[in-house]
Amino acid sequence: MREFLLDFYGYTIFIYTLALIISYVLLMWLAEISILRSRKNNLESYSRNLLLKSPYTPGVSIVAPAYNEELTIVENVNSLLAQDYPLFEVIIVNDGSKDGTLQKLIDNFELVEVPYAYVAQLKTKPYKRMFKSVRLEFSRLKVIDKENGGTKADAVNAGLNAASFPYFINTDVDCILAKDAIFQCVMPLLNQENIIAVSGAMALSNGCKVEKGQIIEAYPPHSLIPLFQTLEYMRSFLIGKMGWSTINAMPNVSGGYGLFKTDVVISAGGYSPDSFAEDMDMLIRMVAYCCESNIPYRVIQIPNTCCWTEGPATLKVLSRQRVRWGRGLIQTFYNHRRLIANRKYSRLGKITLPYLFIFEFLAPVIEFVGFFVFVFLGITGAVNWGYALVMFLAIYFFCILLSIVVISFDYTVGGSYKTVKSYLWILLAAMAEPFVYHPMVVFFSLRGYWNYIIGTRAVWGEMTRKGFTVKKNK
Amino acid sequence: MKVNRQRTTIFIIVLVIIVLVLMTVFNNNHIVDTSEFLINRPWEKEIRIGNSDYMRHYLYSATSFYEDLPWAVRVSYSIIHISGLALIVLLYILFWDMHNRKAEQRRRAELKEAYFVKLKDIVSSGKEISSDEVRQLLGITGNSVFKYSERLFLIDIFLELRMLVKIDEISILNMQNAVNAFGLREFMEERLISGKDREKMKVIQAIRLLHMDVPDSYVTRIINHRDRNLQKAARLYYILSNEEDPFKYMEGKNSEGSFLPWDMLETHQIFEDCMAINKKLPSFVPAMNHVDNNIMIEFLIKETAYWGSDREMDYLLKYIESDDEALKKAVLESVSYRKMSQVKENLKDIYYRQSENVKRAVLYTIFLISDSDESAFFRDAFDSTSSQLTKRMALYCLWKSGDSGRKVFSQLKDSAAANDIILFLHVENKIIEREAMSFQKIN
Repeated sequence: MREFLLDFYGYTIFIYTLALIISYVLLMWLAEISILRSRKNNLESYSRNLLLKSPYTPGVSIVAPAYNEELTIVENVNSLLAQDYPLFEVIIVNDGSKDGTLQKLIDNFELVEVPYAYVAQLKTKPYKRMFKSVRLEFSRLKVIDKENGGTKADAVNAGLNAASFPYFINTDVDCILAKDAIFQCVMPLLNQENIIAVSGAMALSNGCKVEKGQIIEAYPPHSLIPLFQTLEYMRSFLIGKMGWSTINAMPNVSGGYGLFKTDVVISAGGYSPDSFAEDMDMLIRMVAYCCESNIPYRVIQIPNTCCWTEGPATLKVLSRQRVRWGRGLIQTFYNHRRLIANRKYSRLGKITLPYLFIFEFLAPVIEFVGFFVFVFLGITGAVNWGYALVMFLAIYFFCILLSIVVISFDYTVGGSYKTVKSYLWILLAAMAEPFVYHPMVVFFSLRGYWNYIIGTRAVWGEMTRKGFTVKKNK
Repeated sequence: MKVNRQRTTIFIIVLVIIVLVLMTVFNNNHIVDTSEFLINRPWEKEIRIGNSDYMRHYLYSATSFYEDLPWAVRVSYSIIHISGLALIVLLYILFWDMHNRKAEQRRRAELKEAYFVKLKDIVSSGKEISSDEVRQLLGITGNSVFKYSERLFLIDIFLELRMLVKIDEISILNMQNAVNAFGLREFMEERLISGKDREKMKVIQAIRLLHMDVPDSYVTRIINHRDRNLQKAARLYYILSNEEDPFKYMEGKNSEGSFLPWDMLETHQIFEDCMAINKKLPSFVPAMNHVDNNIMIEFLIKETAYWGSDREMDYLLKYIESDDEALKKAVLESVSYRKMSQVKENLKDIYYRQSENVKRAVLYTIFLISDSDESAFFRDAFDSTSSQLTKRMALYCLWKSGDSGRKVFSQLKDSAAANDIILFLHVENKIIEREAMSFQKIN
């Protein structure tokens, strides 16, 4: 009986792994299709020329919440204001920062309090006041000061209440946007019908040379933990999201950078302050709203790197982030369980959510159990070590292949990095990832699940920033 | 094209190897009766070296290696072989591409260094420079031949210049002479005939940006192209270039199909370019009557405001009773743009039947077109609404309506509820007003 159970378990896991590999191959193929489609049909200068002059150019509000960001806030706001797009505004929501974030903004951008008649279309923690600059060059900047809501969602909702334009970009204030980030996301809006959200690719700014809020030279991170995350980001955006985008089944637009249709977000109820994966939760609710109201929709991923963000540099911060993500994932699945395998919710309900449930949500559990079963089998002498090695090598080779495909995609679309050496670093990270980084991420995810199940009080940790100026002086 | 062929060949080779690998790993029948084989195929002897059949030996070793393995291990081996093979191919392509791209970048930089400044001087020169002089200035001799990729770089340089130099400082004639000096006109014409769809699209756009004059026949051949985007681009170019019947493809069935925001931007620009060269635009009213697509009607309403006659503007007013809010707002925007003060009373009549969203647009329109005092109406609008946004708009209109408006504004402010005071302060604030004006937004 024991043997039968172990055999059954072993073959189930093997088939599960095979299915995962096949799904990745399919996603790679779909991503390749999306990348080929995204090759620009229009001349960039021609498009820019049109957008610059046209009365039909859509306006975009950039909404960026800030909590205790005094070290980088000025550089980051400068980066947001430097967008090469004719019609946009920047809304910084100071979410009750305890440090000098607001004062730095006031001093640097010469802000004064203005009597703004704030209309709360979305409920948030109390709004206190709004600041605007007396200087004409910063007239696009709005700073909202509000009480701390404990989550990013609450702050974004406050920003949406003050947004003037039909589209908005949800980003983090620590993010550095590429100068053409809005332009890149607006182009698909113009060329396709019914788009409710556009996701831009993100990369890590750790290791990059930053000047005046812009990436001057892009390099992969020098330390190990952010380097692994660089690879993870590439894989997530260029294979996962690009692949799902091809069949209009994207499950998520990252909270770090994404463009959304303002009225759809508001109609879907805005960001949920009690969610720990507010980005995924928001997109699922937007899609659900469209499906329930019979509104045609499309959510797409573009391959261009639009946003550079500072990733966790230490194990402690990474752990906090991933535990929160794990918690957010289980919470999202629980809250939206009625959508899973429900054909009413289009491809998201029929394909993506069941897939994510099996291959993303259950994966850490299966890996964790699998590890102990393997140890048990090893101790009891039931492992054929030669065969085990072959199976391990198969998975390892496939992981490396996946990473090379990601690197080649990144390079094909213009590349986050300019030198071969940069990509070699990422390749090295890919080789070490299964041994070093992946087990940690599995463990953090499980901790997130566990915390959610036993109902531990959740706290949004503070991200420790190094600050670009410090980095530059080094 | 070259890259695609190369990729296809590599793909086919890899596919064949993968099939061979899979056949090898999953082959269970390794016993070959060599005697019969040799009788039937005596030539086989010829490939033996030193009386040993190396090929068969290695094939046998390879296939028999997997013979007794469980299927899961065989599958694992297949994954290893296929992944390894794909890895080698991908790395090869990647490094080859990196090498090529580097070389291209170097060449692009060389061309830019050689010509950019000279071209800028030629294009922005106040005096007319002949083709021969341009050639001389650029150092182009009869023997200068540019490769395909170099011509693409040169077009990019021209486009960069076009964006850099202000349009009124550009000498179109000099730019055309410079384009001809590099042989780019012939190149673009050739690409319009035999290029890929994507190339054709870019060429049409480049021609428009560089104000080039290409014979109609090069474009008319793609006017009914299967690619809808290319078809649209060709038809828009046709409007600009054709003298006899430029709007032929905007009428009847030709105007059907999806109408994207991009089409709005492009079509508006074409109309603007037509007006700049005194080309008369057609009336959009007939099109509005037979088009089902409300987005297109909305666009045509707005374009009528930009370029249409007063008689056509009168026709638009019927859309104010439309069920579609977007059409109503388009009419209001058009009325504001044309400052049609005669429709003020109509707007007041319909005001109270509208949604708050449209009410705000009506208020703003009345404020913009009015040539008399409308303070009483704005006051009533303020008093009669529960929406803070509509109240704010009514107050804004009062504040901007001269002395009488400001007087009413002050009276309302004096008697305002504590919660409403912020609306008054908002409207009075100069910094906020500056923002509202810069966005030119209605709500």
